[in-house]
Amino acid sequence: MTWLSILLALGQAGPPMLVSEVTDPAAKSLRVEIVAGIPTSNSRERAMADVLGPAIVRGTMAYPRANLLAATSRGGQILIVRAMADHLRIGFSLAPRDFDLAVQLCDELIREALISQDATQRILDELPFRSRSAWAMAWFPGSGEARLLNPADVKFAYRRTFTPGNVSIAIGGNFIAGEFRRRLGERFEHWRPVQALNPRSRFQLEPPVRADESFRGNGTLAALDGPVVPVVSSVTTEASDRPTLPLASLAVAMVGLGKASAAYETVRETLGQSYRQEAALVPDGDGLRPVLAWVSTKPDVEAARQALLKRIDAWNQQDIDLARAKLGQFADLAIPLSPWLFNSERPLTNSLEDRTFIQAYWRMKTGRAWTTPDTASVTLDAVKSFATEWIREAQPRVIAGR
Amino acid sequence: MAWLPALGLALLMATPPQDSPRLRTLLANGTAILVERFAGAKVLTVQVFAGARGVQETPETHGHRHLLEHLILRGKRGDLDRRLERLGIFFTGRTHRDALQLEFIGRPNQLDAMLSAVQELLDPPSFDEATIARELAVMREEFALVPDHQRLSRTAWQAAYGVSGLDPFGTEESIAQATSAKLRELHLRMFHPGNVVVVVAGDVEIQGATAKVQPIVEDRGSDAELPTLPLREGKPSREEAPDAFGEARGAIVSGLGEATVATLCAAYGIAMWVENAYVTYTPSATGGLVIVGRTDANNALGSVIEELTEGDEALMFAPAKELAKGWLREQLAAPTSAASLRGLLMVQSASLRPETLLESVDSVGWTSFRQAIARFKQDQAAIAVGTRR
Repeated sequence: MTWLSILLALGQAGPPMLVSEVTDPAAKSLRVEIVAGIPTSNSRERAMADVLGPAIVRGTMAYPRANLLAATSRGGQILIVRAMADHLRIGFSLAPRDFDLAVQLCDELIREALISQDATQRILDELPFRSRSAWAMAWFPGSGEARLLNPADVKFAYRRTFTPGNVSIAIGGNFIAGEFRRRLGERFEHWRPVQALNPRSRFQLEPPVRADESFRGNGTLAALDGPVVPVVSSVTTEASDRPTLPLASLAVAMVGLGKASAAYETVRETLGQSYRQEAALVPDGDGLRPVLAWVSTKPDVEAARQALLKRIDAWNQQDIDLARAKLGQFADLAIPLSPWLFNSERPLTNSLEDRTFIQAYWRMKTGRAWTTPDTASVTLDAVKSFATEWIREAQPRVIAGR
Repeated sequence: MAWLPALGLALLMATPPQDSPRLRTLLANGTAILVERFAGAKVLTVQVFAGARGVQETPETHGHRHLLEHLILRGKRGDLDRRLERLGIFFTGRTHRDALQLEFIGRPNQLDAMLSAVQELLDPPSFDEATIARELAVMREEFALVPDHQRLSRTAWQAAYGVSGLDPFGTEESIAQATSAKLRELHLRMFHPGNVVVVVAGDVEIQGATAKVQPIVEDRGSDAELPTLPLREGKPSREEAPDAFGEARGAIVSGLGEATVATLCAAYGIAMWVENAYVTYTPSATGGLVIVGRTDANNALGSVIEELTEGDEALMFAPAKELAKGWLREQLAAPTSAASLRGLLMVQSASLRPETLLESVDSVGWTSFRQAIARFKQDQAAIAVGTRR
């Protein structure tokens, strides 16, 4: 029987970072997810993360790049590094018994990355050629500009980003609960913040230059952004976010998740504007923002808006029951059909990788363990009202491909 | 020729104790049923595969199977996929070069509802021209969404295999030539009993589930003779993809033997080595490509591959095998992905099994790994270079 146990491990006696454990006796590998926070209001910091991630995995003191890649592939998956709207993520898989290696690699990546000048410069040189897809533009707009960065900035950013209190680590797999936290505590017992000085600190005063916001591709992206749903509360109780996150999750499911959604019925089936249309909750500041997006060769946002509002107005109890069932199903059916899109263009699934990541991420963002939002108390009127305001008030983002 | 009531040939496959029990049933009309039990799984999947024998892509029919897939998902009343989703069953389709795949995902207690839908999609359809035109409009929007990696893959296949490597996606022009009569005829040939495999995977009782599938498929017959799929002959070449950004290198492989498995290992080794690289491979018994690509740069992949030293390859060797095994194990660990891989192999040849591929990874030696890496070099590979800015 598969069971899940998550232990919160934050306190004076524990390691100087947030630690989550996802135990799963059926797991065939160990999954490690390291998440570090990025200030969301600063696009320069966001740009920095684009460079910092790849720079870290170019090698550490004990693990030159080839050895690092080899070590982190022992679980049958390639090491991943992602810089997202509010965090930098490093994830890797190991063989089930590589517990010591997991702790050692966390240490290497968090404290011992080489960030060499040559390697960093090569990453900076490649940046202008990188492109983002329409969907990346939809979910994570506002990529920063990296032209003002140099290798010294990146080294400085490494010390400032991977510092006690700004790092959250989760491990998933078949192990004794509490063991990872204990070993991490021993390993990082003497970890203290480093007072790093940026040799080019004057550049921090320069306003960031907006990155090219177009995407390579055909068609035009249309996106309707809703109001930010707060999920971070100064009151650290589990109940603090329930009135809003469950409501927004249901609204997103009903607006744009799957073939029974309002967007599928209107934007695709009635108006013929798109092949793919989706809604998601994505990170934005201290909260999450609902976004509906579609790509079309002939976008007519106002026609879509009116059709959506009409459909939302007609939602009935059957529609909300279906959406509730859908949210409950995603965890069991392992299909990429959930409203929570926090780290890539693919929403959260129930894979070990995703279950481990969400604990690291949610703990970093809110200080709490992630649990699937309980939507039982959300009423039809409330979800109609939320969705109506979202779609009616949204200033459309319309971005042409090139 | 009329088919006799089928006396199925049931084979309880010999599996190691840790594997899920499976039952493969080959009916007299050529249809195959595979049921795999995943004890405790909360998901049940039914997947129908229709092989490409007799319906391979040609310039004239390019993308017609893809259009038919779209229409099948709508069912007889035009809303099958939405009706099923309202029941909590997710119904999707994929058109590969070697097979059409229709996938139902739901709860263990929804087998009957899924099989009822299977019955509906196996019946010869009738589409009016207005329905076809409406679907064409949706597909035009789908064409606008084709990502760079898919454009590069299409170019690499064309470079290696010419017409026999046509992608199943089609073009607006070729799909517009499809008519109701042509699609009905295509459906008949594609769902020829000998072309059909039905896979059920989840927490089901395997004999009972097989008995439920059997009546749906066993009485289907066909007078048409089913041709064998010709082997594809690939050649190294390089083509530009003006509509894409990035670069892809396809290693030309034939069948699913040890050389192909070694090439898959090599692809993972390169993808590990080259930042942001991806691997694309759909198992094909008739010849295919194992592709490694990048879509965030158009000059970084090839140079790295060309400059790999023996020392680099030595460092890649063990991790590459782990990654290939990891991919295969991951596919076999869950009902949905296991059904997908097993069905795709079975529809090409009843003897193909993923376990054979997995075992082959262990036997990939240093020499065959190096030979496999060489298949990605410019004198052996099919290369697609995106020139879009």
